[in-house]
Amino acid sequence: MTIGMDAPVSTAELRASVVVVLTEHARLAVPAASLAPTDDLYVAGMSSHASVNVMLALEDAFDLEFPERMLRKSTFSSVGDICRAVQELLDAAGAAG
Amino acid sequence: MATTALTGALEACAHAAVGDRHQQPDGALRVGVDVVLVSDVADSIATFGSRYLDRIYSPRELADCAGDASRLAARFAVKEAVTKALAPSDAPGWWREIETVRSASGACELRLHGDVAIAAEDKQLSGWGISLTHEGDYSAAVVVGHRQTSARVEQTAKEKAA
Repeated sequence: MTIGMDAPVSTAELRASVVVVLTEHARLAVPAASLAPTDDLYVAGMSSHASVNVMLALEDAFDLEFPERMLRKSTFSSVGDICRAVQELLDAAGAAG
Repeated sequence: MATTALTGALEACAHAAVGDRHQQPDGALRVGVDVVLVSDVADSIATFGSRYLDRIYSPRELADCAGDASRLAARFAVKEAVTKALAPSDAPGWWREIETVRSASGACELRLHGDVAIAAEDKQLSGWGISLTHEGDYSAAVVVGHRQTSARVEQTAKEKAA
């Protein structure tokens, strides 16, 4: 599943896709869908290694690549942080045409 | 036991062994420890293949490990342990810049490159000891960075200037 390439992605769709990725790859101790946008994913059980899988899965899901400047713990700290990072990259890709 | 809980327990042991005094910003030693499940690394390889391997490991590490997930997991643990020892304010993905190199004797040593080498220099960490292990589904690593004292830094600078 790749979204975001043919039409703008709504906030709800983006969050839903991020939650799917987290459910499959973050190895959280709680359901990803139950997390608030600011809940700390590392506190919720995501290990550093799992965050790598989340990063790679997000790249697959949205057909993008996280630049090196975004490869920081804070980028993947919460659902909200991830959504903002993905939206920024999708916007940049859309602007590039 | 979840790796996060186990890592926390090992960190407490490592810090106790080193002594709280050394964990202060001006302490002589910086310690890092991490535990990684071998099965997690195997799953990552199966799921993401070369995208995972090439993003995380250097060519030398990939050659040394020859696809062995337990060895790769131990090297990931080293990368995380070094990152913890350096304690950056917002941990970057330094993965490929933290390299475990295996000598002909089988001993492993740490090599830092790029931004992480600069970060270590900024913290005056001049020497590193590492230890890796893997048993069953667990791989772990402990790293100790030795910090030059201010007096030693000045002495080194004088020697270089002479």
